[in-house]
Amino acid sequence: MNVLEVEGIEKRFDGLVAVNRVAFEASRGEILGLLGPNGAGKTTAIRMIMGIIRPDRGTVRYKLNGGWGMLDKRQVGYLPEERGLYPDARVLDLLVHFAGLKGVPPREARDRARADLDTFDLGAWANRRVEQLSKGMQQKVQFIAALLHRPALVVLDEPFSGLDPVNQEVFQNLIRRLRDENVAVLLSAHQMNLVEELCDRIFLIHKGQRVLYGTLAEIQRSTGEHVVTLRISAGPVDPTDLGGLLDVRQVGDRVWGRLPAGVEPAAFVRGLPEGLPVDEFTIRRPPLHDIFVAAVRGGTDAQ
Amino acid sequence: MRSSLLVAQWEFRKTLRNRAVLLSTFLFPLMLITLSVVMPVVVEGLSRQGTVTIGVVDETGSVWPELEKRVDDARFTLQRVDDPDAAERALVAKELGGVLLVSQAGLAQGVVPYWVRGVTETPPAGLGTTVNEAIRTVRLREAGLPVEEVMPLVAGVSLVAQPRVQGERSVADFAVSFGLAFLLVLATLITAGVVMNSVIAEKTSRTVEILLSSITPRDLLIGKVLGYGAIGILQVAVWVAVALVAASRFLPGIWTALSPQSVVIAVGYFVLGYLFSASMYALLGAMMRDLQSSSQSVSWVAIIPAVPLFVISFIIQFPDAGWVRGMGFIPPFTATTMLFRTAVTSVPLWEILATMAVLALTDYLLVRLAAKVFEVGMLMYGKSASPREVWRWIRRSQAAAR
Repeated sequence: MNVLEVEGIEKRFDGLVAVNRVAFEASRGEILGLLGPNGAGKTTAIRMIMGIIRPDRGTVRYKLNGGWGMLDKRQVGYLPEERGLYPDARVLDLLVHFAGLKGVPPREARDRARADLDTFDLGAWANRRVEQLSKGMQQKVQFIAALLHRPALVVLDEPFSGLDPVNQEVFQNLIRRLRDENVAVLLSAHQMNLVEELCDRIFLIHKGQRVLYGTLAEIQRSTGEHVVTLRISAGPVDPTDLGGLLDVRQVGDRVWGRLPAGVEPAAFVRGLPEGLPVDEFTIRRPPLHDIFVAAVRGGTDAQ
Repeated sequence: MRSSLLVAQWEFRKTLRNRAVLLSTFLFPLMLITLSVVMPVVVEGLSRQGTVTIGVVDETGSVWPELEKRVDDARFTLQRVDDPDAAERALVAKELGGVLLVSQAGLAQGVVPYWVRGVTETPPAGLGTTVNEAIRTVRLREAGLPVEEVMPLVAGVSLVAQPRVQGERSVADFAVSFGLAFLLVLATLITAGVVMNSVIAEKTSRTVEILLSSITPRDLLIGKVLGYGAIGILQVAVWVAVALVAASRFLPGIWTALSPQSVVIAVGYFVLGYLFSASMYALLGAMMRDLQSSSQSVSWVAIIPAVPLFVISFIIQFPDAGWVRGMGFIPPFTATTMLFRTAVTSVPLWEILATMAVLALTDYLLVRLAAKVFEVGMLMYGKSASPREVWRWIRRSQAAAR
């Protein structure tokens, strides 16, 4: 069930188009990845969704309280890309204040904040000042603040930046839990491996415009390409022997290459020379990282 | 409004924990007490130490004996010197603080030269009266008149002002209005600027994005102005309370002399004037990039409530002059001007209500304007806004609101 419908939003700053007629939707129980290179217009799009700035054109519709309507800020959680907490405030007071602005009564906010701080192993830091916390801890506090009012739609802008692998996993699990709790999650991140693991659908924006949109499988299929990996024990191989494979790279006994659109994997396999000493052979759709890079460099224009 | 109150409460509590604010809240009255109790003692001590010796060169020979009889002043002592050159040397050597030259020629012209080392030095207070009395006595005697009988006849009189009009202001009422006018200027300098710092800090730390994802810019701005307004008012309340307690030591009747009506009016102007400054600072904060670029603007906003101070003597002398009344209707000057005016004259009620209404409306419009600028300016990181850009933002914001 959709909770967010973005319809042709556009935003200009001093004549420059930051977001150009972008449209997508997000549903409950789904994680939608909002991807794009730096300066692509992601944060501007997010700020329009969050009601922080108004679109010059287009509309954003929300279904957060049963019917379609205006933005109810109490139903939306936001973790901005640029982290910002009051450095001299105490952690618990800060969380209660932010939850209060979202309409949560102080006592309830206090109880929830204590429980959430315990989940993140931050229970002992509840009465410390924010400035006494490490950067990773502050990020967790901000994450808690974004969710303390139990929103129906959560927008996470770069939640993994600056986190160590252990905490990345903690955050991943929490984001999955949000999906399980039927929350709609809009996730913007640069870590393609994490996006691949987490996101149900992906929206790629570049130069303010939609470049790719769909499930990972749909996007991968839309490229028409495959990535081929070979391990060949008998020393270097002549690329011309791997008929049809493009951008061939060879390191030690490993060989990588790109099978362009229109070349059937089965045909490629049949075309391999007799007696090629293959120890390992994989053929799969390109990873999101490659699709992203290709799309941003203008190689892919699939929708 | 609920969000504004939450923000106000948060800013109030957060700021009260700030050591600098706590210090200025409680250190200032401490200084006030110190000044009011210790200073008179110190001044008395200093004046005792400061007794100067005045040399008297009396060429007439008749004035010195009369002067000698009258040397009963803590501020100076007189010493006869026969030779003017010796007196000048003693003056240069700082053995004498000044030299009186009494001569027949001088007296004929009505002049007694007083030598000093530099132009900045003046005769000690009371010396003129002492010299005049001595010379008058000598002249009477030389004219063959009975000195004891004539002296009381030629003695001067003092003018003592005694207000007789009913409903005029008591000293206590005057002190409250006048004191609040100065405190308004002081509080604007010390506390109101904190609003701007807070707005800029939220902008640079990006906390504002979280806040604006929960509440509107207007709620945030109103909350901030109210929160810091409450801090400033609390601070001044502490100061005034301490001042009144300290003053009651010297003026026992001060509490009963205060009229509730005057206090309400004075506090009303103070609160509205303070909110004006706070709103101005909030507007500047929304326009500025960082604290560095804001420092210059602070000075001109801080000076606004102080402008009537430059013409304070005219306001006190002509509180009902047309231009003074007009100044009361110019919002940036309303609070200070009206506090001064109400301190010295009875201002008609309609004028008080009208000026308060103008100021209150300006405060409200200013907060709304600040919110508009804030809405666009807050997210325009990395640059301060020119007034032209601000105008464009306001128009854009209005267009978007339609």
